[in-house]
Amino acid sequence: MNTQHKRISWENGIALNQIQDSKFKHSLISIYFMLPLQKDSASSRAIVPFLWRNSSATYPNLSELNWKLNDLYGADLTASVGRSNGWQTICLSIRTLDNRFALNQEDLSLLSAQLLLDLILNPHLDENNLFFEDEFLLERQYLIDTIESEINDKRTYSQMRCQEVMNPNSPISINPYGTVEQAEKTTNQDVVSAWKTLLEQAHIEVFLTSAQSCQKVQEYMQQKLTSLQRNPIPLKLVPCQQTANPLQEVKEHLEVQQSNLVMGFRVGDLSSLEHQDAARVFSALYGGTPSSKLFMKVREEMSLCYFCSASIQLNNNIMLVSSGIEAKNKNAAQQAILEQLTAMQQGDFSEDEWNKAKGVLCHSMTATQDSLSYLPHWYFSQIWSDTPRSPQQAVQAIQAVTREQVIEIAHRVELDTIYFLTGKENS
Amino acid sequence: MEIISSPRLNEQYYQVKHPSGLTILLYPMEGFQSSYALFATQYGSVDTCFKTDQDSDFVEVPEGIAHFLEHKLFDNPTGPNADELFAAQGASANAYTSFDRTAYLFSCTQNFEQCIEILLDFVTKPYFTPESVQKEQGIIGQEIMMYQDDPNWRLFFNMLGGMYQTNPVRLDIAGTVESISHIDDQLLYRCYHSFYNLNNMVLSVAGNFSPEQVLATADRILPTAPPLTLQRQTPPEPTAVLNHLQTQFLPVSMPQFSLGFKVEPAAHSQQLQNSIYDDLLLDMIAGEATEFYRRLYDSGLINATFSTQSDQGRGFAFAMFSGESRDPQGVQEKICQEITRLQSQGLSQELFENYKKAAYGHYIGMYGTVNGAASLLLTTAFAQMDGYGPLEIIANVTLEEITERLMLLDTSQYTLSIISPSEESEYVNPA
Repeated sequence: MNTQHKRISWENGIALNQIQDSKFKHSLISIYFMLPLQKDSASSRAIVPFLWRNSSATYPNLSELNWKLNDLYGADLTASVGRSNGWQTICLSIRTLDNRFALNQEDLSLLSAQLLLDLILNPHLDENNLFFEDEFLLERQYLIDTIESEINDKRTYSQMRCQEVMNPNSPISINPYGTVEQAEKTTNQDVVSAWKTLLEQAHIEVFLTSAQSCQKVQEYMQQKLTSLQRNPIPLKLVPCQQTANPLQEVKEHLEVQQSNLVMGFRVGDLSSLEHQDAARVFSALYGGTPSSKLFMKVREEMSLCYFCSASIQLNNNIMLVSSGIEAKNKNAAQQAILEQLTAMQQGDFSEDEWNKAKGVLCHSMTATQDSLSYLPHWYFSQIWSDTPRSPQQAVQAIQAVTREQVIEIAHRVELDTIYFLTGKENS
Repeated sequence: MEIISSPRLNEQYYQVKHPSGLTILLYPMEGFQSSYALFATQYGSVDTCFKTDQDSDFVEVPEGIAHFLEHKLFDNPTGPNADELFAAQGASANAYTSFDRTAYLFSCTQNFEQCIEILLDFVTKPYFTPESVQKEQGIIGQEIMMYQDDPNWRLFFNMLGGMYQTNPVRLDIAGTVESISHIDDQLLYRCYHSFYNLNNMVLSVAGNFSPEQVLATADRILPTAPPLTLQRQTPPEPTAVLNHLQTQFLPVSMPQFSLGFKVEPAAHSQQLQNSIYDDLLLDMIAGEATEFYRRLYDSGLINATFSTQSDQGRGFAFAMFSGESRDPQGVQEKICQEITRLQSQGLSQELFENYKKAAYGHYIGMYGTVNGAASLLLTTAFAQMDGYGPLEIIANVTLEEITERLMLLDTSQYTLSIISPSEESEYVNPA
């Protein structure tokens, strides 16, 4: 096996994840800042990485910064905001060509690490130590546009709405971008405060994925980050509801041709690794692959939809089943989805279905090791676990899951919410 | 077997013209766990009029039939369909239809030999019945409706619909619910036997696999194809665009635009090189390192969703600028002005060197994943180019060559496609 991973705790709530594999032609450095997700601070924090992405004191505007990125053989800078188990994750990353392809022996890894930290630690501030007002206003507007554009992808939007309805008062359903109202009220000073809070209080995970060990890069980043004055908030899982509420149904209308039906289920306590592995296999069998029960029944046999799939959120104890259907088929699709759940509870899945589900899961986990971007995501998901595993270790665990364990998971699944997005003509 | 090497990457791949007629490209990649295989035919949505020596005259087929055929090939009347067979091997399979090709693919981390056999077998053994065609019309009908709701899809195809008057690139790849209702099993067989001739196809494999296994499986499975006598007919396309403006209302949060410039189409052998040059040109016009981009961004006219893209094919070529904007027509005016200015004042040598260096890094990256490498080899094979050709083109491109492409842009031949928020839409803000 080529891929090597080491997680090293630096001091003061900062950890380095070094992932090394000689086959990669690029390197990727990602720095995640993690704070508990809160309604009143989400938007101000969410603006920060988009300001980082555009300039620093050294490269004070977009064109100078991008000129530098081009000079690093087309380095790609990515800013992202996400949510992980009720924590807001603010990330800036840089992908650069591996040193062995540099035409003039440049140390591209070190140069890109220096640029990344310059953007984060040394932003473009005015004489009052605020962001330049025009840059701040642009990025605030971009955040508002981003929140409003979540409606464009109806499938993702519907899933998000179902989750909000299921967990109205929990950080696991707070939008990591915040809300339009909140963003509109956010001031320049709020964003400067958010930036400082990220540096001082966030738990920081650094991912360095490359073909080489990059010792100089590690030393550089450690020196820069551990010299910050910090009082970090320790990482802690958010407790999540395990059992279903009385069934609630929500219907919303937009101008759409295809309706989206999302059924939200609670799955009980999935805190143990054994339950999580069994839940993965259950989800794959039930609705996670083209040979799953939902795909074969609701799509292939009944021709009711273009997609019908299930996904489990292991740390939130939730499963969402989403499908794109014609409005007139809602009841038929709902019934078919629940019938297949009953079949799972009765152990009504063949050896062939069983082997296929495990095979696809194992393939997906193994293939993770070939991806420069998926590999750090994999290890990022492992930071919540007391016993982090490599993709290969996870494959072995999946292979050991039994039918009885999967049936047990099926019996825990309870319907909580039905969300239906449909056309205005159906109101 | 021919060995094709790249000193820049210190890598190589193998090319075989198999006795069946199929071109086979094999790219073992050390250290990778997975393998990725693409089995593709040069048949896509623009191929609506064709004949072979079995036909007395050219035949016109309904829109969306290439895509429909792609769906139907997965069927197997005597047992499990292709999806199920791949799943039984723990592999993940898919397919896609584009303007000029249909490709069937799998990715696996085990049982490679079984998977390559499944791939070669199901694509070369079609079976269609009236009942299975009717069932698929329901599923594809749902797919078409899903795309009708997709603002990005509508934005792009509305642009093409306004740019092209007769070329079939203006048609939705999946067709319409009405057009696919005219498809029957006999028509599918006709298209299949015309285009799925192994002399018109390529198998491209990259990653963790044994080339010998691929060749042995091809020997075992593939029939010898008859000579290819396919002729395609494309209607003559006027130079002028059909409409300068295409607008549609959808429930989106802010307006999105695609501004396409109609470019003179090139001969098949030139298309890929032109496309590579055009991508570099578009970066030099409006890439993030340009002062032009910075002015548009700082004025709020565009945001981080702004992007550029070019494409070339049979009888069509275009260069496109897309993104979100509250003033799409303002963006269109500024881009036309900038192109005119550059045509008059010339491109900067310094900017060219800067973007050339970036492109070099990006193209090396394309050979860095199993799917990227397999896909690039397929594209270059269809373009009758060596698999490392794009990297060499970028390494050796000159400013004069990019300037030539710049001078071909005609700012009077554009189509601006806009998707605007529906006047009546009630956007539900997830507060």
